[in-house]
Amino acid sequence: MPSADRCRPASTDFFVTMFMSDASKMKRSMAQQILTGLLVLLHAGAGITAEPTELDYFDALPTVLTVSRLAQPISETPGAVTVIDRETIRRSGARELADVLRLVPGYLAGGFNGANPVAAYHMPLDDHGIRNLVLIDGRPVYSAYYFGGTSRGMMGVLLEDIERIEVLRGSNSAAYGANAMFGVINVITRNSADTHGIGMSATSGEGSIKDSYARIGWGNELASFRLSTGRRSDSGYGHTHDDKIISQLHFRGDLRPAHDQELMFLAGVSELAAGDGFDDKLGNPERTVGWRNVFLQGQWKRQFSEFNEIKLAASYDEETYNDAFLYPVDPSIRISSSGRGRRLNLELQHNFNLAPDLRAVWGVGYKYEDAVSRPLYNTDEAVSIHEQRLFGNLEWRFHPQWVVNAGGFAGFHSEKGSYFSPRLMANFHVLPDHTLRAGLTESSRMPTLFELASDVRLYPQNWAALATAGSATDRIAAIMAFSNLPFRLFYADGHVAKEELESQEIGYFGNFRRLNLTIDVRAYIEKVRDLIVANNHGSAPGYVFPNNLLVLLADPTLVGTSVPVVTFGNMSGYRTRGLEYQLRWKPLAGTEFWVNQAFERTTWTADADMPMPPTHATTIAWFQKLPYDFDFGLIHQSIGAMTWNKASDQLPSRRQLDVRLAKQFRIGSSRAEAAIVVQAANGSLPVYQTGTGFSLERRAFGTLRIEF
Amino acid sequence: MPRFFRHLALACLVYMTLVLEVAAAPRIWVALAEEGGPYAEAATTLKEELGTDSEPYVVHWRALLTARFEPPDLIVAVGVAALDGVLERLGKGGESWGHVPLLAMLVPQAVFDARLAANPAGRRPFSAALIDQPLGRQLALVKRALPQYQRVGVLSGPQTRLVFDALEKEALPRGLTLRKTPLVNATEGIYPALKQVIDESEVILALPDPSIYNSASLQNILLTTYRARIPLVAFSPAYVKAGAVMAVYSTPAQVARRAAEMVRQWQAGRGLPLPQKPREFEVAVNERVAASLGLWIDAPNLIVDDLRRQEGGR
Repeated sequence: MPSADRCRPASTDFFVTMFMSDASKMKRSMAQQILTGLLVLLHAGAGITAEPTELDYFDALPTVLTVSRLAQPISETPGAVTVIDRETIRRSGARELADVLRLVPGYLAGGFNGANPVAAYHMPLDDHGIRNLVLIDGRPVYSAYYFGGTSRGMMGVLLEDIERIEVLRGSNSAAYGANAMFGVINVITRNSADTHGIGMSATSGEGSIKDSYARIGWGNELASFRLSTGRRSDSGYGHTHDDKIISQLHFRGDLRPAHDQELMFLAGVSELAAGDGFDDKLGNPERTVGWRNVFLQGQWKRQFSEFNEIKLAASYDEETYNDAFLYPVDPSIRISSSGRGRRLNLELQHNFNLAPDLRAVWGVGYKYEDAVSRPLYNTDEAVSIHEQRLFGNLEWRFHPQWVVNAGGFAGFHSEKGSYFSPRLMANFHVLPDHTLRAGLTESSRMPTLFELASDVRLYPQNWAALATAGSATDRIAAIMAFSNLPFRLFYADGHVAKEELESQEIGYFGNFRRLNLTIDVRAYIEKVRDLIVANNHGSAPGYVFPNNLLVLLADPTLVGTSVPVVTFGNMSGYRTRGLEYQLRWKPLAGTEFWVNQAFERTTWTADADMPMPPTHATTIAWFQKLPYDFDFGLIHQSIGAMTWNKASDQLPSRRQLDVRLAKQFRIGSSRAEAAIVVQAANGSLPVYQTGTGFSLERRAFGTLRIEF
Repeated sequence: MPRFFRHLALACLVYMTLVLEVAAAPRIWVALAEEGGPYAEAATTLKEELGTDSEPYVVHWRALLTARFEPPDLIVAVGVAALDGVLERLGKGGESWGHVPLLAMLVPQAVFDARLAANPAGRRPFSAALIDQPLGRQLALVKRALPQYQRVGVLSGPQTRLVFDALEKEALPRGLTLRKTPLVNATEGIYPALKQVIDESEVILALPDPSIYNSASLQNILLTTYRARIPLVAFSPAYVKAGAVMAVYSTPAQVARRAAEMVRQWQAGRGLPLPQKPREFEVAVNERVAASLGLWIDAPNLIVDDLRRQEGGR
């Protein structure tokens, strides 16, 4: 081979330029690519097809499945994770997201009525599910407006659109901020590139169940879109007024503006009409509550290299709440919680490698939340909070057997100042399939707008009617009316502090490949302090205690009775120790068992009427494929005695059996499935609080699904 | 700057070819499709394997167009462009070039078959050290590395459909069933076929067919199969790096060693053997993708050893 530095005939330049390519890098020059492209086109036009060359084997290709695009193996996640995929959701027969979460160890599904399904991890502290962060495609769906609840937000996704649900069990504030105190429910909807064509389903059955779903998807390799709509209705629990109808319309677009970029755009509207109230409670009569959510969301990702990615996400949510009625005793009193809430959430995240064994992610975020509601906040102005956020995590693999994650999340809250949630988690692969995990994390929950700024007042007018009414509350209201004072139901003075949770955990993840069995165990100690609670206070601060007025009314029975104003404060908290595990076993190709168990001991640091979680809960699921494309599923859950929200009303231990039988078939080239589900097949069981008399009745329903 | 030196090197090569035109022609010419890269690796190995006796002479194939050599005893064309260039040169070379044996190296079987059909060799011995893996080896890889799967999906393109029958024959004894799609349609694109193959298969075997697997479609295929949690078994380490779960392939040096065996056979007077697929091979596994799909795949060297044993301990 001639040496380059000794001879370079100028006359060959043209020749060289014409025919040389950057072969050492194995990349075809642009001219060649254009030429090849033209040839391919010409060939295609002529009906001749491109033939392979050695370049098909040797050409360098960009890394498509980069680290950030890959789901992290469960053995390497900094914490316990339960993943429920689309197929399992379908085979579970569940109609609500909260119902699906029964398949997650440590989760309790409930709801203060059947129209407000919630799921709580470990501790059913509240009726609204405010201590879990629920994300749908990365968009937080807790309510900015009211109690910060997730029950309605969780209903705002069509189960048929979901690709998978990843539940990060245990506090994740170090990665997701203050709302993730008890974990994250991460709902990922299907990429619209996977839902081209038409899909429909209809469900009908007992309990006034009538559900329908339709979607249409279209697009090509570079841009795909989906429009899906659904309506779900049922009569809720037995023995209460909680019928619900939720109608939704969602749009998702997935675009690839360049090979290294992805753009996702989502928009949706959900409208709920939910039964609420009781026929015997004047202050909470039977009525229909309306809720409407509109959201817009966008996410842009750019991949600079295999390990270097930037993500920009933005979402906007607006909800309107419509719940108002006239107080029967004094119809001049309009009891209302109607209003509007909004949230803007922005986030920029950057993943990169600091060294081959040291991976970093950092990001900044901003959220703004406001609510406008004269009934709840006693002002026509918007009540708002905003928070600047900074987060980061280092994943260090200093040894092939070790993965250490250290990270934290700092928030700067407009009302409550700053908080910082750190986490340290180590995963040790004892053997390739056996991983031990240990970690510490601290997290916080910032008070909701309602806990910070609520001021609910009623203005009684008809004191005569109130004074003769039966209850002490009414008579006190009468005093208020007589003295021309507002009657205060809720008052938040803004002094409530953040809740804090400190968690220590050890875990084990084992994969027994020969048996097709995986097991994930988590043992933990969780200490919660400064828990935010609603208290019935003797008097509203700043208001005249009505003793003098009572005298005026000459009603001695009311002397010493206070105006029951609900305020928010911090109490000491509790300590809970527990162990939970999830086992998944596929003994045969068509057989799959899931076993979840959770054991827990809780000690409250203050002796109060506080909720107690069940000491044990077991869920066994059996999914069986049968001959002739039949499919059988069974989920049995047994939960020990527990209380929702308050200790005085204990729910006895319960068992629930759900059964599903389905048959898949084809109609021409379309795939279809018919299924029958019986929920609570073992008979009705009590739910929420025994005192309410609510029950989950046995109900059967059928579903027909078809995909073109 | 490196490009400048490469240009310079080729210029020198051409210059020397012209200067040396009257010198005694080497008996074996190795014509490269391009400088550097896999071609250089293959040529270097071939030279090493053939030893000093043969002294193959390595040139860029374009040098042959202008050279006024006496015909060599054997031409080894490395790569499709080189093969086509050499065939063109031989076609114009007159009687004396008509008999020169030609060994194509690093070319796919489809190309070799097409050129053989288009250029009836006449008196010229024409064979190839092919780049393609035997179909049986690719299926053996699936069986060995992912024994839990039976349904192997293949996207049908104009090239792949030519080998379906052969693939089916290899699949059957291994307990694998082949799920093939209707021919990928130029107007509808790859999506409907991809959707069908994902629905029906547990693992997808990619075969080189530029109308299906190309740099434009790759992202779509890898992302879609990954979302469906279907592993893609490909044919090159580049695909594995991009996101395929594994591949069986031969390096240019390994193909060159096969070519060297064929040349030695020719040197021994036994003529050029029939086209041969590489005997040596490698397996690449993308552990990260495999782990993310919940797959446990043995170390590549263990798989290679097992596959070799299955192929007869060679």
